[in-house]
Amino acid sequence: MTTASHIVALLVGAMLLCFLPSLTHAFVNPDEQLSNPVLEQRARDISKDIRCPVCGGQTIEGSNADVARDLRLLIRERLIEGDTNEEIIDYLRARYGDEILMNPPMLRSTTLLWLGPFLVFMLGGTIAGHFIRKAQK
Amino acid sequence: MTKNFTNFVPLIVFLALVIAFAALLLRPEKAEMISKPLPALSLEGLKAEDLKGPAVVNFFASWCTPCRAEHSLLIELAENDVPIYGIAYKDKKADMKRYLEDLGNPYTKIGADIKGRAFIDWGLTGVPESFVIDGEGRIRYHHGGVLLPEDIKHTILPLIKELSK
Repeated sequence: MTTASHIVALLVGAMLLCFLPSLTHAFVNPDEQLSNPVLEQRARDISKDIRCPVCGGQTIEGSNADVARDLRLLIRERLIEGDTNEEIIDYLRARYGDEILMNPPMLRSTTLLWLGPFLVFMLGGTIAGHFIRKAQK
Repeated sequence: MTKNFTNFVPLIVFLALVIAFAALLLRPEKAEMISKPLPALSLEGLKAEDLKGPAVVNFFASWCTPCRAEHSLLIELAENDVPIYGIAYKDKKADMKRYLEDLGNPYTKIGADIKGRAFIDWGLTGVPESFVIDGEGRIRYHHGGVLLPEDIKHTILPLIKELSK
């Protein structure tokens, strides 16, 4: 194999790695876990969708930040009190906004945000195509 | 000349976007809590019913360096007869006492948020953060991060004044 094909193989490999599920482990400490397995599972399900407000791209499940731990404890407290998953998520959204969700909903006000990358890509493609055609003439 | 300029158009557009996004991201106002009723507050030293607006609610900690930076502004604010309720986030009592002895105490009343629950209830992402509350039990302004002299002059004081009418 040539050096160039080595590099291409490496790059493709690195790109494929991006599609692996995240390898970070959960930070839920034994002292936080609920003895009721059903409630604990619900707590895990909620935590997986909640973004840690101080650590950018991490869930509160995968972060050992103080606030993340406090949020995990709060979710468990509310589950014990009998809150539904939706009530807990709504409580957090009321305070931190949609930013707290790992998968923010597509709203009318954020449509441009979701479609923006595709629009920019098409615009860029059109401009690039224009110049390439011009250069070929 | 025109050709050269055209080459720089993408760069200029890019820089303009960077500046626009940075300006939006670095704004200290946080929108989510505005106009909402005051969240639950049941701390040692400070309960929800103690909060009498118009006033400032300030989350701080003795271990927080930016809090030190804004402390003299809070003292000035208190001297202007603005009530300030302090909430000490995850702070040891002795440390907090020493901090206020060293720098002065601008607070009308202080609550100790040892478990960090008030921090979440009030939608904080760090300390310091400050709120302006009105007389009807609502949040009117939420400031993320350290207060600067111009924040006091152009935002906090005018708002308190308007709410006091």
